[in-house]
Amino acid sequence: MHSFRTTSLIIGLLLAGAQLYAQQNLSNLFSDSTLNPPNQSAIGTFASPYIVNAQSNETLYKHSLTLYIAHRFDDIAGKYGGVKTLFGLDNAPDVKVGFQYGISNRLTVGIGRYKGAPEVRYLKVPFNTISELWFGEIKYRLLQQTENNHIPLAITLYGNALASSRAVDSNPSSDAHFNNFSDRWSFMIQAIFARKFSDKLSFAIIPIYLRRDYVAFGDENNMYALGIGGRWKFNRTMAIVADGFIPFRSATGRNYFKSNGITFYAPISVGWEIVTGGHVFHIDFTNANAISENQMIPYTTRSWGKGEFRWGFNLSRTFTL
Amino acid sequence: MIKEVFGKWIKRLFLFLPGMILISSTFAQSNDTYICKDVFISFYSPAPIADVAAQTDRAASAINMKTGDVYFKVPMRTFEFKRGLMQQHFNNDYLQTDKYPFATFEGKIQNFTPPTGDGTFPVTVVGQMTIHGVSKAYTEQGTLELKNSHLTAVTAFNISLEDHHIEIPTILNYHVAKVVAIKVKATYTLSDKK
Repeated sequence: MHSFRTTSLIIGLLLAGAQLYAQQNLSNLFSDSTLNPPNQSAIGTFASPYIVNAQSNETLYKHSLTLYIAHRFDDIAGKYGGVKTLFGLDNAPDVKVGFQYGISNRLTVGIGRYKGAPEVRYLKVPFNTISELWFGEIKYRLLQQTENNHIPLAITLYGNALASSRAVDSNPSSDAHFNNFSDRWSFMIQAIFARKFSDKLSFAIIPIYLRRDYVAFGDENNMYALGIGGRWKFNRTMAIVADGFIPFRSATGRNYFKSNGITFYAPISVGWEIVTGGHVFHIDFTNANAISENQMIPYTTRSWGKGEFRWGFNLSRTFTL
Repeated sequence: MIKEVFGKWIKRLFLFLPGMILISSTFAQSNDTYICKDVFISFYSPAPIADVAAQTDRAASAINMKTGDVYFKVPMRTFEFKRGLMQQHFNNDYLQTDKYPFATFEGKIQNFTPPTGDGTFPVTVVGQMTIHGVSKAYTEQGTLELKNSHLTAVTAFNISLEDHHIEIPTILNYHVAKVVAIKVKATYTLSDKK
């Protein structure tokens, strides 16, 4: 009788076990990998199509329309800053108004205008006198990084064309002494290589080719540059963003300008980014007067070291049509 | 002597029987399990500037029509919004879908008696729902319809964002309502596991 009791206990336990097993079975029916689509792309490498001044790998979503307004003030310190100009607030070296539209999730086109940031100091060589810049741009997301690192980085291509509508400068050594319409143009091609390392940290490396059809004596029609940018998202709505460009100007060119009292600096920018729904708001500090990369890369002559940096803001508002 | 041999066989039988019962019971369970791998789930929250609305048809569910067990598993990244930017914020900032890729529900149909034939049955389901890594007990009404060994489940209920610690940063101001309306529809077929 004793052994029978033990056996029935075992049977009972086994039955209960079977019942339990069957219940747990429901949650075991679906594995994570079969439910989640494979090779999901990493989203939000950067918060907007711009890092600070540099392009990020991001494009707009399909049928999104974004309005951009950006503003730069004058030098905070140095010869042209200080209390006299209320730390640069009196002047606006450059202003941008632009629109971008997402034709698809990969393809974005844009138009806009920069005030343009010609050099206002007296120069023996008027190499940077162009203003009233109208531009068209196109950006294509070639490759998206995937979360599982099957594709470890994102590649986006960018191109723009920019033309000045300013009056012809009578000074024949000026770069605005346009002889014909084609002299007003500059073109830029970029490839943006970006990687989202974590939820918080993203970086981009951007090889750039810049073509200016008409330049001052000693300047270069064809120029290469390397852009570097990053974003550290320190909470869910805010981030620190930074970017910089290394323009590759020939030694002869550099020396020629140096002998005329002009030194070129790498444009370096740091910004505080606040994302608010459809808005992206930046407060930026940069030594570049210009907002347009077409001017910023070849013409930055202000130095962080001399206090010749300024604050500015970038504002974008996205509408879905 | 006879008793000894007989006892040995009885013992073997008793060892063999539970095994059989175990195996047959699991068989029986899977035969009662209805599975759906394209559950439709939508949510909606009215907002002044832009309604927050999204849907997926990639969720999975299983219902055991013998025990009344109910299970849902929702891959959160598959929710599609009309506004891409809103979808990005949903994934990156609200639901943190890289950290919490799935929402799940594990529950039971209350006072369940296995149906004997086709028909429509109003049911009350009780269980734990986990969204954004936070679990909460829910008791919700739904309808089951059994027809030619196809099972259809429909339900609609509300979720409070607070209950699942889904914080919408005040600065990310979509004016999202605190309560989101969820709709679920699933058409199940009998598990073909034998």
